[in-house]
Amino acid sequence: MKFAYYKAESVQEAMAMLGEFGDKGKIVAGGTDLLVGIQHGKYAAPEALVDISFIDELSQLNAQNGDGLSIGATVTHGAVCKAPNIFEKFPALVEACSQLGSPQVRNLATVGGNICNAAPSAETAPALVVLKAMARIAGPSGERQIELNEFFLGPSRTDIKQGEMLVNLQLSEPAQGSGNAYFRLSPRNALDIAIVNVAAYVKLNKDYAFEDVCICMGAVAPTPLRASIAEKAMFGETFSEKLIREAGQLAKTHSVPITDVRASAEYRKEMVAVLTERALTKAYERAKLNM
Amino acid sequence: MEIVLDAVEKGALSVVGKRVPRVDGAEKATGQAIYVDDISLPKMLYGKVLRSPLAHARIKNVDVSRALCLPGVKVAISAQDLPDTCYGPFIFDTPVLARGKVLYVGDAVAAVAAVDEATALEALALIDVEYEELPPVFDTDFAMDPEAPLVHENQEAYIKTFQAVQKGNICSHTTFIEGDVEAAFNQSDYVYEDSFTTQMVQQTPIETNGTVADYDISGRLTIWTCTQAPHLMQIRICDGLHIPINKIRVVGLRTGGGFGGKVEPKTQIIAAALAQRAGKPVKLVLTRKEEFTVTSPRHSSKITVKTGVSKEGKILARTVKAVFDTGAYADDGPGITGFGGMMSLGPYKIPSYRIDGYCVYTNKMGAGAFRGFGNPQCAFATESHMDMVAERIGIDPVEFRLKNVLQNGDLSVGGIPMPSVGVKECLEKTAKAAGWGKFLGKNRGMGVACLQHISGVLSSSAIVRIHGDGTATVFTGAIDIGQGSDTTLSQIAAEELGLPMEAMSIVAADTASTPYNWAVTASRITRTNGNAVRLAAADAKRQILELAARFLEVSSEELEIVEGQITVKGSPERAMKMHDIGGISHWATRGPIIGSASVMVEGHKYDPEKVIGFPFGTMAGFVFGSHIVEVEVDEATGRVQVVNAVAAHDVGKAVNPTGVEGQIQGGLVQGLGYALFEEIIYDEKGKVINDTMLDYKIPTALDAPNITPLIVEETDPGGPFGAKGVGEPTLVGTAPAIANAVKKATGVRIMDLPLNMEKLWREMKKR
Repeated sequence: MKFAYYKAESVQEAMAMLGEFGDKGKIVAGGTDLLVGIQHGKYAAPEALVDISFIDELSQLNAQNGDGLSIGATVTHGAVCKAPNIFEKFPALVEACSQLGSPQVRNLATVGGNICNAAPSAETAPALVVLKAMARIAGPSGERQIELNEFFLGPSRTDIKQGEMLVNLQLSEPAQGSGNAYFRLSPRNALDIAIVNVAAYVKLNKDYAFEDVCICMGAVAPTPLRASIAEKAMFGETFSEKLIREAGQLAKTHSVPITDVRASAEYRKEMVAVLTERALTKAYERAKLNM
Repeated sequence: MEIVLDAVEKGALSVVGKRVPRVDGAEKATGQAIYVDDISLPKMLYGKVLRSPLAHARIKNVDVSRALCLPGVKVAISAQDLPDTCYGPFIFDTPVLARGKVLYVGDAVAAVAAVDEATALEALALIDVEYEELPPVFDTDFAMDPEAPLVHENQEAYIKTFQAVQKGNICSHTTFIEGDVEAAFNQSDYVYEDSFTTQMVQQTPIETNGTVADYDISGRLTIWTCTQAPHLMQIRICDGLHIPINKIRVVGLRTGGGFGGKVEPKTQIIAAALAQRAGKPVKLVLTRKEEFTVTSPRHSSKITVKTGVSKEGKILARTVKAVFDTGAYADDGPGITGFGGMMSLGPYKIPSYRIDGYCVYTNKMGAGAFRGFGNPQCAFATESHMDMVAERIGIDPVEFRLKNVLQNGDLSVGGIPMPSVGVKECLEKTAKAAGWGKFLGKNRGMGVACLQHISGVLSSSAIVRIHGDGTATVFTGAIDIGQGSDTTLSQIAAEELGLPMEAMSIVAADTASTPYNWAVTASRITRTNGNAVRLAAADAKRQILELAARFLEVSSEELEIVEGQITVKGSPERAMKMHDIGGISHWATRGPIIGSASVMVEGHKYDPEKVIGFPFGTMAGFVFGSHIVEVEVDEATGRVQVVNAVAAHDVGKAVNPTGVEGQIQGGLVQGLGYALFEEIIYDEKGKVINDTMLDYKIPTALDAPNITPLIVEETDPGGPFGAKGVGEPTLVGTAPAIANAVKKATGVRIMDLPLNMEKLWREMKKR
């Protein structure tokens, strides 16, 4: 197969190239999903690849004090794992990034790519959703922002329209009294795909009651799925093993996994409960340390 | 053959037993090694194979004419273009391209060669094949039913290399009998029977199978390929295409993993047939998908074990019924079924037994050799069963095994005396190192498994040349596929010649220049080829000393070679340099020195009343081992993490301890994949549904536990410097040890592999 390769120097240039090639062009950064997908026939071979990985603006990872976290579209999973100060506030994100692929893959694969590829099992999606990431998207008519929770439309489908591109992901500073965590289940310890993954974010009020809860499940629906019924059930309650178990059961009921070669739907549902309990418990422990 | 062990006993070895670096290490570590896909020849074409979409169908017609019209396509062939013949290691049941019927999804129907891969792929789509679908057979229980459709309709007519016992879809039934089993069961205080199943697994070498073939104007065929067996490949190509062996040159390149999957032909014969017609070189490399769907995986099996024991814990009798699913073609199946059966007593003294192994055709890809050759399946069953018996009679599993282990001089299945049996030491060492019996905490468990294997079978030969400067080269047919034979065979020759490693080089695995070796298989290279190399070196040494004797004016018996100096024993000042002997022999008198040797493992004859339908003549070099693993089980998910592993292997004299340890580590981890997650999964139409590295999961470095490899050296009087083999047995003990450890951790006994997390979770729920 043959395709043209263009190296964009700026977001503007990349946008111009995308405009020119229309649906025959594809953005590439790490290429770990795209190039493998093209080779295996998952995507039709594009006529042109527009490489955005040399655009300085997109490779910025900023964790300024008190100002949240800004992840440029081409920041790699490896960069997130290695950056200081991120784990302290956004452990769920680092836990997700550090479990993706292998060191070699993590050093190439971008968080933005992981999101735009929109696999139902995407490693970073649940973590970014519970951290309420905002996706900044550039388009021919300017920039727009969308909550990541609204971003995923289906397997390999996102809200990004033709001619648009992801510029960065913005995470606001976690509130005092909050904690977050990510768990995934896969047979292998590396180079594997999640059978189920779950991220949780909780915020406690001064009485240690749950004031905000966000649970996101992966690989159990066409898109990352918020366990909203479980979230609501926890609101205003204080931590107990019984409460966490109930939340796990509600998340399980909410999930709609399929049976495939990797696991049965029944097992996936049960594992949603297990991982939800674990993620909530871990997030709660972290929240208590952050009062 | 008499091999003197004096030097081993005196500890006077200078090269053998040393941790010398691998001779192929630098080129592989730096990426300079040449693999088959690196080969590119002028005007080379690319081959592709059209494969059956159906599991079982009659071929009404194959028409390649449209493919031939596509620009860039040079050759397109089907069975009608090839000699009407079949090949195979034990049963000649395999055509080069399917003839008359296709027998599984993926069966090779036609092949093309074109100027590039894209054109070759396009051409495949233009080949018209008319099929008449037949009812398939996917399960061995159904296949053994007299009503089942026959996969091979006329198997009686096939050429066989042994007295095969066949019936319906059973292509080989091997039986081993000793003593009066029924009487022994009656005398037993307890009799237990358990049934197990194991799954189909793939070797998953990092390099897929591939070949570049070239056929010249003089009718000479050259095959550059990744293989475990260049000389065996010559024979298969000769059988498949009727080209005489002397016209076939097979060059074994650096090979990126074999594990049994590169013994029998995968691409070689088809590439040769294409090159023969093209008059140009043809490259044929399998895709990963093909590697997963058409090469020769480990047989799935159903095994029932019944054991009678006395109340003191002595095993008195055993019966084993092992059914192996060999798929569409027998391949090594008859040997695997027989050998697996042979190993199913484990390393224990069992006075009465009857073992029946059935090798059964079905409409799946033909299963074949994979590290262990039937032993992993049978050891999983029998070593799980050993723990189950121990638990029922209330004896500790290690103690139960120690009560029954084989000792020096005991007889193997089939009655061959085993002169060196180190299983007791292996078991004691692993139990001590692992801390057997210590408190482990919740959800943790420790499991043990012992094993036996062989390392001596069939024939090999070797040549050692002494050069004009006194250095030497070993010529061997054995290919180094990563197991380290280039290094160990060099060490053996260096030791025998009295030369340092720096004075040695090795040429391996080119049938045009290196002498015959059956195959790199059966864990046999160190012992079987090692003997040939040692004897060839001894032959060269004799000639060196005879020549030196003329100049030093003594008899050659009075001479020895020490660090490259030929000296008169007791008078080291009377000496000649090897350099001088090399020079004199090339330029002054006698002529160049060449040592050579051929060996065959032979001698013992099986009693035809007790060993029936077994495809091997005899075996030697029995090796032993013991694995102990510690697991931690996630109670909520069923996920098993192997945290520690100790493995001891009786390898005879360890020629290169670092190499032995590497084999132990590698085999143990490969066994972990077999135990926990590897499995080829078929859909109801006979199609493999997990044909990618993502969904066929082999262990990664992060899945490997802390491994303590232990070497036990029960020297074998029949091996070079007392050496035996180690390649396969290192895998064999892992799966049963893990299953036994999981039982300890959870109370759940898993009797069908793989022990994957969903399966264990389901079983734990039933507790």
